[in-house]
Amino acid sequence: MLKINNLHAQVEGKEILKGLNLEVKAGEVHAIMGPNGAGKSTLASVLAGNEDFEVTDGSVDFEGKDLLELETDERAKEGLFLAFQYPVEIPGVSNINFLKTAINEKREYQGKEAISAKDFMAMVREKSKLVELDSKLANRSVNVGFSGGEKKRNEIFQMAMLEPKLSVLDETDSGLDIDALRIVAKGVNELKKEDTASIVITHYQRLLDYIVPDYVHVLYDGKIVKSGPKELALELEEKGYDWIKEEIGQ
Amino acid sequence: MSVTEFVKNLQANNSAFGKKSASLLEGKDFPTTRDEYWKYTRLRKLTKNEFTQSGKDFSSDLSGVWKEDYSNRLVIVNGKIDESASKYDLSISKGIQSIEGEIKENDNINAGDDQIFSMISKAYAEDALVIDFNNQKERDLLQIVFVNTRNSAIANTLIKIKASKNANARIICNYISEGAGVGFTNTYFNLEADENSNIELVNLQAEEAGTFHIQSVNGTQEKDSKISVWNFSSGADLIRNNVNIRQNGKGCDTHVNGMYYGEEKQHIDNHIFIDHASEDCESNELFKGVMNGQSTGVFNGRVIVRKDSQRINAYQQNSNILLSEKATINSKPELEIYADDVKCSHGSVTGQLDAKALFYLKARGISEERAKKMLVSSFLEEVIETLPEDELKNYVVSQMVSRIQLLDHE
Ligand SMILES: Nc1ncnc2c1ncn2[C@@H]1O[C@H](COP(=O)(O)OP(=O)(O)O)[C@@H](O)[C@H]1O
Ligand SMILES: [Mg+2]
Repeated sequence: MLKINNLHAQVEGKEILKGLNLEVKAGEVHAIMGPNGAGKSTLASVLAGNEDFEVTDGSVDFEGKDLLELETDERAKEGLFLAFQYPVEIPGVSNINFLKTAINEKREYQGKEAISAKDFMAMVREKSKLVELDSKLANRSVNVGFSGGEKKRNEIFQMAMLEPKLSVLDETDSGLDIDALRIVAKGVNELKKEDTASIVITHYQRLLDYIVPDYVHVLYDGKIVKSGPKELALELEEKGYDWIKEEIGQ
Repeated sequence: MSVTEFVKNLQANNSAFGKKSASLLEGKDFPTTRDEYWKYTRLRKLTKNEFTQSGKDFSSDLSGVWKEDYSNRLVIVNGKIDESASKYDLSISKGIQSIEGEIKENDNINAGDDQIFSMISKAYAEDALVIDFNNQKERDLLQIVFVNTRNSAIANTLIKIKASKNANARIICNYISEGAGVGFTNTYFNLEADENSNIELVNLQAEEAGTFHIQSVNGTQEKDSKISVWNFSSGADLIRNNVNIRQNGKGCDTHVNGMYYGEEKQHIDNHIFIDHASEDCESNELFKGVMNGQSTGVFNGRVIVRKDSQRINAYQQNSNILLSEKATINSKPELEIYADDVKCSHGSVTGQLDAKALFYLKARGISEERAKKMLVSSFLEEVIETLPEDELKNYVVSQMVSRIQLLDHE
């Protein structure tokens, strides 16, 4: 589904991603862990097409397409979803209208008819229940006045509404209490299908108690320096990142 | 550039105030950017054209313009009333003669260089209207459609609106154009709000590129009256709106709101002047602009609180978004306060679209164009919200949507 090869990216002239490789197949859940500043969010931003970041080398293949050639909105329409580490507040744009617009643009792109108001509302009810998001929030401006936890659940709600092929969750767990964490994980797990995949970026092991990854990768200084099975997460939790540094000889 | 040169092809009307205005204009020059209230507005692209008084044949289909529930309709083509396209049961006197005695050559509220165009209207108007709103029971609704057929047409119109005691008037003015070449619409409104009356004037300026629109609204208010003016502006090459309101009696309320969208080399200028000449009054101004291309926006909000005008609340806000690096905005509040028990506030902000918000929308699969429109629309929505009644809001959006980057109301 996703194949990242030797990806280099910089921001304001500073190289952040330094030759990153990663392959994700349909049906898989990949966890990416790593210390602060390693470049995890940068990877997510580059995948989503944030123009603050300049790709200087490497390639990203998404379902047979050159992802880096696509506009941000086209990437989403092709089935990529990024749950933001810091969801943006947009006063004056209602959550509902925004999602309806997004869904219909995607459907148009796929050559489908616009969703009916009735089907859309039914979907809103169903999906907001899934992430236990107060349906009142759906009518408010995007993320305005939402608590930290509500913002994160809103990300998962949007993900559920947009039904992506590949979701990238950037520290969706940070700042969440155990209850919220459980809800977010439930959302992700229920959306997991044979033909979808997720990349879960996290700082802590605890999310992985709820979302069980097939692979765990360590991103350090702009590269994936170690990959392993889910047990690697526990090891990282126990020993921190210093042993990795030693292992890679820094 | 001399006014005499500009009007050389025009026939002055034969009213007393018209002749007086024409003689006052003799030897006058158009204001330049050295004049305080024209500092940012160059008139050359308007004044270099030769305009002529033109006929009233037009071909635009107005069916999409009419607001269904407005039983009073007037069509003014190139400054002249088209009787066959109009219908009304309001008390309306028409023709230049009707306005004799109603309009003085110097009813200027802040006499000065911004009145050159009102004087041109007064001298060269081919038609005039005096509309009496005297219904004490319910609000009267009137829609006026101004058509400019271009091909060098100049449309000078004089309109006096009188709301007698306790009367309620709501007037929608649609400005449209057709044809090709240049066209100039120069409208002069005189509003008289008697005690406890309410005048609402909604201007929808939706002419095309190649046209110029200068509008002067001079209003006076008596005790407990309310005047609200909205300017929705886009499309023409040059738009200048002067709104001058004087509060003569206690307990007056004045609202002047607007939005403007400029692209290419369009120039949109709002000069608002509120004269708090009495006590216990309020004024509110909210203007929002979005400038694209190489367009220029100007907002000047002048408020005077006179010496004995105590307990005045005057609020003013102008916010702008620049969508391009070459667009500019000149925003200036001007508060002159001579009383001491006064609450005044003013704010002016100019910024860009929120790049983070734009990226967020795009990352959900919304195209850049649509995402920008959503953000612009949400920015401008605050002005739409100042209109009374949802139905009117929806109507205004539907009329301006082809000119301003607004999202249709659902
Ligand atoms: N917009 C930006 N401008 C400048 N530097 C940035 C920007 N975004 C990230 N960086 C820098 O890139 C590095 C990696 O950041 P980030 O990808 O956010 O790390 P992580 O998510 O792994 O904590 C950090 O040194 C950070 O300061
Ligand atoms: Mg991060």
